[in-house]
Amino acid sequence: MGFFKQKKNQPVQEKVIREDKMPPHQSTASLEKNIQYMKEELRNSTDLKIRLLPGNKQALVYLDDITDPDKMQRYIFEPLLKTDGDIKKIKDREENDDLNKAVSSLLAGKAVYMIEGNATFYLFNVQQNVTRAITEPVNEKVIKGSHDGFNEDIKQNINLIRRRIQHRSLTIKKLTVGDYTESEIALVYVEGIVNPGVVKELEKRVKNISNDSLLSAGAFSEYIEDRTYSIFPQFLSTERPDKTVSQLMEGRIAILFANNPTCLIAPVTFYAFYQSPDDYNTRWLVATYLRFIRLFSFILAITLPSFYIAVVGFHFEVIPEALISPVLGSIRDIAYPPIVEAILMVIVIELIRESGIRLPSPIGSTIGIVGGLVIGDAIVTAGLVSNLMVIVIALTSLASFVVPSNEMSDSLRILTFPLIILSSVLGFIGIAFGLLMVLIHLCRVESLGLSYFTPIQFRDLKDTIIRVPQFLMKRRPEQLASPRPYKSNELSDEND
Amino acid sequence: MTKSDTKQKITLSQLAYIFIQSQIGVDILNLPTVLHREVGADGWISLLIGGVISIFFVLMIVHISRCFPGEGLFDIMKSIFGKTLGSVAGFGYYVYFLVVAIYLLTSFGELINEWLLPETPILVLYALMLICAVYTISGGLTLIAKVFTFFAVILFLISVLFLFGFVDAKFIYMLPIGQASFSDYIEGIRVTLYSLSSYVLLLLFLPYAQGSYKKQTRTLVGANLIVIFFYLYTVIVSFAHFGSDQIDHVSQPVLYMLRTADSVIITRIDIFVLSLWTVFAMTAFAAYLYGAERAFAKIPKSKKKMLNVYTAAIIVLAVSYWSGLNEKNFRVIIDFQDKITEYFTVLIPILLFLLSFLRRKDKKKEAVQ
Amino acid sequence: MKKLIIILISCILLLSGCWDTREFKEVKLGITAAYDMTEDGVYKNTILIPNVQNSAQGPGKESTQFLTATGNTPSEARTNIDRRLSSTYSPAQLDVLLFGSNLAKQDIYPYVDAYYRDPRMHLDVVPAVVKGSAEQALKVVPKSELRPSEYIEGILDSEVDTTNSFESSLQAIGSELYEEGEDFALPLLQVGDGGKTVSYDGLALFHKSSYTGKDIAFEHTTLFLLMKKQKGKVARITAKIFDGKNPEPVNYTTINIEDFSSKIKSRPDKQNKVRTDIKLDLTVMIQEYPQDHLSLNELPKVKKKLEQALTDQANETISTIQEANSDVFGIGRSIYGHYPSYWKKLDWEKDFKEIEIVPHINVNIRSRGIFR
Repeated sequence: MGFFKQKKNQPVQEKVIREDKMPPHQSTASLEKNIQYMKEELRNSTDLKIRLLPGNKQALVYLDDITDPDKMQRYIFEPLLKTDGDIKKIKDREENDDLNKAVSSLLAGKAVYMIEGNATFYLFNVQQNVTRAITEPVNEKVIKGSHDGFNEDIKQNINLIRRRIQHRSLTIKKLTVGDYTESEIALVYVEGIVNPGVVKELEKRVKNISNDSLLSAGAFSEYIEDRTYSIFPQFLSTERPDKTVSQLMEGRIAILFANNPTCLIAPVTFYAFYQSPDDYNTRWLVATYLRFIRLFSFILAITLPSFYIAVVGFHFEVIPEALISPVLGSIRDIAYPPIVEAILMVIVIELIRESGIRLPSPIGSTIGIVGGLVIGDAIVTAGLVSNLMVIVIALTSLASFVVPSNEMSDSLRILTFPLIILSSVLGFIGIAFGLLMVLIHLCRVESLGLSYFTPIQFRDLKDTIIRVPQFLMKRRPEQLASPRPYKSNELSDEND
Repeated sequence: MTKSDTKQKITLSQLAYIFIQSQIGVDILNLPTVLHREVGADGWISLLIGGVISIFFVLMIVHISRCFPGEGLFDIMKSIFGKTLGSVAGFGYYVYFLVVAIYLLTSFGELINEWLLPETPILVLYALMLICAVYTISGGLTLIAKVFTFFAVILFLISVLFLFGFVDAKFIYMLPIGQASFSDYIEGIRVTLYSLSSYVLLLLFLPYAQGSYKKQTRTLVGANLIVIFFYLYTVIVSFAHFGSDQIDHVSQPVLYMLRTADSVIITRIDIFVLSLWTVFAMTAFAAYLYGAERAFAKIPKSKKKMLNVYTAAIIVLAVSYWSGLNEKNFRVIIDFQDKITEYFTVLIPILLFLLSFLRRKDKKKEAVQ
Repeated sequence: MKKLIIILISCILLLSGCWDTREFKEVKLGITAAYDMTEDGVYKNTILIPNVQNSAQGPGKESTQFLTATGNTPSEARTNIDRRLSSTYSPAQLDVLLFGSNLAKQDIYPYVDAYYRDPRMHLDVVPAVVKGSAEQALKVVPKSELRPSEYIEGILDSEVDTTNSFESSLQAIGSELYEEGEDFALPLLQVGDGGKTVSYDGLALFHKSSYTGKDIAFEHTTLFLLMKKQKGKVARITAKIFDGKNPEPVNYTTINIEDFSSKIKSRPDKQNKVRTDIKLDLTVMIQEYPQDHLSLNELPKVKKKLEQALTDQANETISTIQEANSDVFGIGRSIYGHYPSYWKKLDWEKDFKEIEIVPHINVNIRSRGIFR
């Protein structure tokens, strides 16, 4: 990063200590002092409740908003009554004498029970669980197959995975990232199938993240990606447990986030973005057909506008005779050169899309009609954009939405721009160079150190461009270098 | 993330694709015409003979590499010729690879300028080509292998498109056989051998290739056969399509015959093929540029890798620009290349092959063990 | 990152111009061109340009525009056309090239050279010869045609389907144009109905690159093309197999050729220098037999008669070809290919007229139709 050298007079910044790494602070026998310390540490937050019990000798301290009164009643007060106030007889309690630990526990939704004249205090887990019901992810609907999805609760998400893989080798490794937020991350993989080197690499990268907060899966992937400056996503994100599990069984790693329904899967190949859980639920011939449609849509999405511009602006020799008069009739009276037309139309479509996303669905459909029909028709009648260009751009954006993965679809739409520019400068040769660069770049990209885009060889065809019946897919993808390369115990090489 | 070159390994199929892609450059487009001018209707026979000879050269190269396990071209030369003479020869190869790279770049530029973009400054094409090639090379051997493998699909695609040439073909144009003189044949074989001369580059890739000596030999001979058949196919299609008189007037016969190839969706398939040809031009160019980069890395001292690439790139760009200025300059490059090609593709490999029996290292190691 | 920036900057610097753009909408495309030679030897070029009106529904309406210019060379004529047009004239999508017979009789090569030389030109142009003035044929625009610009092309295409003409293009005749010992034929058109229609009139025989003035008559084209191993979708021949019967149509029969094979073999011959045998096997269906009642017993007789009639036709065609000195069968090239040393002794320019070409026609009647 030689361009931006760091300035010398940097402000000195205090180092934030993570909650789990706080130095111990011995509690005193004085209840008042202890409470005072906790109050200060929590910056006199108003949701800190201190409930003095009758006699003012004992106090229950908790954060009001994240604790559950019902649980408190059940786990603390009811047993207290039964044991006649002897806290030591209650089960499910933790004992500690480190006040900093008490503060951390408060933040995690625990209640602290303190007694005057006793340096030891007791912790009860009374956290209030706020969970959303398990619903199908809106952005990844399937027609057939399971309709559950991840939600914001990491425990529930792990539950959904564990339920699907009931084997002792399913490993879950929890890590925390972010000095303030302490976001919990779970690496999930199947030991024995996953390549151990990849797990080590991923753990190393996660541990290297140093930041105050880590709030989203997208931000996380930017920290640990191999090539952050690449236009292509290097982690597959999904909210579907079935997709996650099928990827785990291929030998990949799933990364779950607390308070985030998105699950990242790595290492992936380019082709993974074109696979949908639907593929494995339909007849293989149908699935193959759909794969072909997607491949076609990929090619269409990145080359169609540039191809059209190159034809109209450079090589009109390639237009077949029968098409000459329709094409000529359509573009004769358009004021702008084709590249301006194209960019204009792309912007219109992106505007419609962006405005449609955030609006509630009743209004969203109105936008679709207004944008699509009214503007589309008017822009042609006004002579700003030709009929053909409307068709071309509409087809292109349709094709880009065919991709099952949202990130990839966005990448593709951006990718059309350089190609449009190149083709408007050099025609077909420009497109050739553009695609050449894109492909070389794809070959360079790696996902967790493993190759992202491998040239398709015959063996890889089985689950990339076509999908053969399940029993023929005997091997795990070679790219992953799995220690268990075959999918069943019976090694049969006859088909490979 | 860059790994050191020593760790990089390429598979056998990748080796084959690298070989194929580095052979098929821009030359094949005008090879039929050149052959026809030299040998007449017998051009394809001299191509076959030249092909067989090139297989012998491939076998020789594999043998040389086997005698010096783990050593690239320049180390081998140092081992055989001694340090000083080896370095001189290494510098010679540096120049040779650069000249070939320049030739490939200029001829691609000329081609595009003639066929598609007469007004565009040729420097733009050179620059784009260089960017692509440098981008490929900077990723190291694995990236080169991957990229070359990926683009091999296009060879098959183009072969299919060439079938259009058979629509108007008359095989009577292949006759009569045996009208050319002996010296014509020699000239034809020379032309063929030069257009298949990228076997020299193999010495750079072989040390990193997986597989036993036997498998490597089989793969490379197979790859060479594919290239020879592709050449033969192109030559026969163009001979049969154009006949014995017109072909002398057409400088890129395969492209020319696609001018009338019509399909329902598009006409003028030659324009597409020409655009696709960018890929071949790029891969062949990148292969030679890689050779030059390796050579430059070996001459004085070890330097930063990207520096080698950039130096080679800048030299190539400058000379290409100069030679693209007018036809006279271009002739200078071609003549120079013609002069030195013989030494670097025929004489030195043969010399290396003969001397490798004396100074081989693989046997010595076994003896020590 | 650094690399990316360098690449981006260099891209922006390099790509800041559009040098070769030729906007499709700013070009006037000629669809058909006619080349003529005027009485005083000046070259005249007429082109047909279709203009399409934009319309919201369906393809726009077409109107045609004719421009004529004279000049010493084709390029000069083209420049003269260009300066009378609102946008640039481009022959890149030309479909049909008409030569007036006056011009064709001299030499057509100078006029087509540009098509071979310029990579932007369309080589798939169908060349045709017009008896008389090509300009006149070009200007025939029948009202009933939906797309007047495609009128002449349509005529030529439909004749290809019925095996009266063959798929020719500048590229296809290219090798024959250059090759020694091989000539070509082009479709021949004629203006009829007092200038209202254009009709297909057979094949014009060329020698080297000039029109010989001799043609293969329309009635004989199918047989000729079959001998040349070319067949369209359908091939029909009407032959006169009887004489003197009344009424006249009874003398004729029409056959539909379902399958054919043709072999042309040439070899040196002492008597006539070269002897060529054309062996043509036809599998036919009787399509029309006005005499009614075609019984099975009669078939051998009909077959004999047919073979006789077709051989007569073939002989007639062959004599025309030899008179025209147009080696359309490529006999000379074949002799050169197979007997290169013998070829050197021949003077093909003179010898072609003297060689012996013998047609052997064998007819196999496969079907008589559903009415016996």
